[in-house]
Amino acid sequence: MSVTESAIKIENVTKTFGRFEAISDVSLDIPKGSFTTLLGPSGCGKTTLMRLIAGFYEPDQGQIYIHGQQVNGTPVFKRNTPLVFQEYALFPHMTVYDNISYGLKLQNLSKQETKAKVDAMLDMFGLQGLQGRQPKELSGGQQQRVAFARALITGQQILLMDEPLSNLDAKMRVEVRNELRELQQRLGITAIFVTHDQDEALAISDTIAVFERGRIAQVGTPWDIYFKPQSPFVADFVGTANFVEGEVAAIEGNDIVVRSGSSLFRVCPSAGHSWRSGDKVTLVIRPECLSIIDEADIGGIRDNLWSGVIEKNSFLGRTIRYWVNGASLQWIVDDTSPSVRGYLRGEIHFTLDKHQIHVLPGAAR
Amino acid sequence: MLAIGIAAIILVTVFFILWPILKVVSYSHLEDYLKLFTNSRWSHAALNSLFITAISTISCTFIAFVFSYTITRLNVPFKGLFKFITILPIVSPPFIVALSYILLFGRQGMISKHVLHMNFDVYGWHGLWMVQTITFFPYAFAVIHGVMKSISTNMEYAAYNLGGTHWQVFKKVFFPLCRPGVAGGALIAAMNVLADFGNPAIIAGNFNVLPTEAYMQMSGLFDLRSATVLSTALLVPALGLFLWNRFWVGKKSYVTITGKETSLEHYPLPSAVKWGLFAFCAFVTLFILAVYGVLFYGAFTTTWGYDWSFTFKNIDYVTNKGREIYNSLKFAFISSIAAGLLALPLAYIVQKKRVGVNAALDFLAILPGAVPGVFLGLGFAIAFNQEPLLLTGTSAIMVLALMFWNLPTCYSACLAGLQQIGGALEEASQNLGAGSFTTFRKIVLPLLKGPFMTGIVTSFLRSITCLSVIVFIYSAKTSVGTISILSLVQDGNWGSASAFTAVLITIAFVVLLAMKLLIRKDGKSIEF
Repeated sequence: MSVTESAIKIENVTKTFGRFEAISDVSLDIPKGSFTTLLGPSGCGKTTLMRLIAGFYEPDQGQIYIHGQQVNGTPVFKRNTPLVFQEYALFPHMTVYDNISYGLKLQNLSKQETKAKVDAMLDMFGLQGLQGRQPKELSGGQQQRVAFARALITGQQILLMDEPLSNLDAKMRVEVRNELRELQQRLGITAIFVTHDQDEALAISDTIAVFERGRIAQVGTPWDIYFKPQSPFVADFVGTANFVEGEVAAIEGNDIVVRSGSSLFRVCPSAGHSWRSGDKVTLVIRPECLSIIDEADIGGIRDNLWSGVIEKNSFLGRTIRYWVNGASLQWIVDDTSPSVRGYLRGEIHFTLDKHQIHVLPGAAR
Repeated sequence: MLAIGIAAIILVTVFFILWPILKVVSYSHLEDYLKLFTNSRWSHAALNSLFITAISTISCTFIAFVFSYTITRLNVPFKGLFKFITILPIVSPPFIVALSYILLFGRQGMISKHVLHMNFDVYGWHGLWMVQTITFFPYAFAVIHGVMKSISTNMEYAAYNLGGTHWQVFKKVFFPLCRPGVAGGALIAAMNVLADFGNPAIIAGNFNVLPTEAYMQMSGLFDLRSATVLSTALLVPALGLFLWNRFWVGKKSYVTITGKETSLEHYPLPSAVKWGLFAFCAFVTLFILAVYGVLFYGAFTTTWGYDWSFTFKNIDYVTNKGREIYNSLKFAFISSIAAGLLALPLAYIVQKKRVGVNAALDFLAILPGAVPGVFLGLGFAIAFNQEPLLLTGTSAIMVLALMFWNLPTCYSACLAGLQQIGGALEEASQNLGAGSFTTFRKIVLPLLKGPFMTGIVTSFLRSITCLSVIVFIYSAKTSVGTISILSLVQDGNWGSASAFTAVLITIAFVVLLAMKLLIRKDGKSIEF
């Protein structure tokens, strides 16, 4: 069994509702034991794909394989793809114990075995002593843990999660996502996680599939998605970016020089694409990659040096974000060590390593 | 298997709902229908029906609006009592207000004769108007209150915050938000007043309306043809009101957009307005309490109007009529459970939208709610008076008629319950490995218990107090309490009539209370 064997394989799947094409010709390989996140704005098709995997919908076209078996037409209850619902969908007329053991009872396990397994789950999720409660007597966080216990108890190798953290407060969400990642790795299960929260996706995933209007815009590691976005949509949806539209003015060894208005950019693009003079390009520059420098240090810098006047700022804790009006460009610049400099005012100078500029072919948007 | 079940349900609903209706409508020929315009007695009955419906609807809606406003928006005492008052007429026999009105204001009336020393003529349109208003405003209240309750006070605060005066806020914000509720409540009241048989039978006197006229043609003159014509004449406006309510008012609700509930204090009104509204509600409440009080008083009075001494003879009379009471209970019990058991799969099929006919099934299931009781009763009398089902005079026809008359009540309760359960719970169950049947048994059924029981209890109460549906189909053996009361009233036997009514109401309340306790223990409460 190789590491890259697929747990779930989606092949050219299309799903329409009436006239609306929710999923258009999507293919995706989800390796065994991986944590894969389906990320995108609402209505992009990410939840639809998850529901297709669980069997709540059948695809109009294409195949879905789970552990190598084609599952098109297999009813929901035979798919073994437990799902944690966004609103948890705990059975309100059952106790915590009955909720968690629901899937086990359907397998006709003995009472002792059931109890042992439920107890293990109660332990794992810190729910000891709550087994007699009704779901409505639990806090939001407890309800969520019951939902996870209920999904995991049958020991399936796949876990589907539909925005399970969206009902928690911000601090809890960060805590739980770390626990979730640990749990997934400990159990070695294949996790598929739907979210519209890019921070969450970046923090938790092995692989992210970014959805854009029913199609997958990019699949990659969080690092790839963030630093090497393949389209302006991905760059814009994941994190904040400066987009600079321009034209390749010259090729100088490994570097290309891009002209945008009166500004010149020296870029050392990643391999895999050959550029020619006159190509239209869009440069993607993350605000935190720009470094603010003192006037005294300008001397030694020849390339990629700009200046502008600060229009407004926003204090974010680990950074201060500045909106800067340059000669011909609007910049978003992060000061990544604000504890030293405090608030800056007036004109600032900033520079950028040529390796930190990402180049996309064509014009943005 | 599933298909056979669905087919059986479709067959049953068509046979017991559509078939009787078609039987009545097709019983007479065109020339009979033309008599509606040529026979002045009949055209008067039709106009009278429309007139009393119009004025009663206005008064019902007004009272219901004031009650709802006072209960949801004012900080006044006795709100619990006001709310309780609005349940009373719903769980009582339909003619009780008419009966009490006569006891209070009639020729031998407690107030008219002994307090005011005046001689009113209570019989006629004004008496009927008064009685219909008191009897049916609670139906309008239920709808208006439901809507008003769910309009967030935030909206009013937002309007006041933007500088609105009390009157502006009421006129521009509050009332428009209530309008769907007011329209819905008015239509419900109108449907009930139009179709009512009990009150006009007792108090309308010479002011004949369509249901009483149809009854007279049938039971007095044995003229079935005329009875069907008059009933059909009643069906047309009733169906019109029903469709209007369903397809126009039903779509105009703003309730869903109000968002989160808040526990904000209500914005204070000028105290003159506040206490004026309070006084109005208090007056109506006192009147209704008097209606019920006088009934219980009458039950223990020797001869109303002449001999006020205390007696048990009326109660003795009722115990001698034990069979009627027993019949009332038996028919109500069986028919309401049967209605619930049919409504449950029906609602499930419609909600799942698995079969193409669900829209038609939905319409069939609620259709009996649109059909006036006398019409439905007449339909059963005609349709099941011949092969393949000869049921005339049996208990079966009583049970079946009540069952299908109550089907919409149970069906709506189950459907609402199913819609509340939502798809996610069923999906979660299937996702964890349960098949459709297991999911239905373990998730859907237990969760539907509340709405299911609510439907059955409401049906039971409706059945036990029902007169209109059964007035055409009862026989000597299957007579029930309400029929006895009607004949006692027609004979002027007030004491026994009061006692009989008091016993029926008591039974109804005991059942209601028992159910409330039983279901509350289960963690869910019944809302009527």
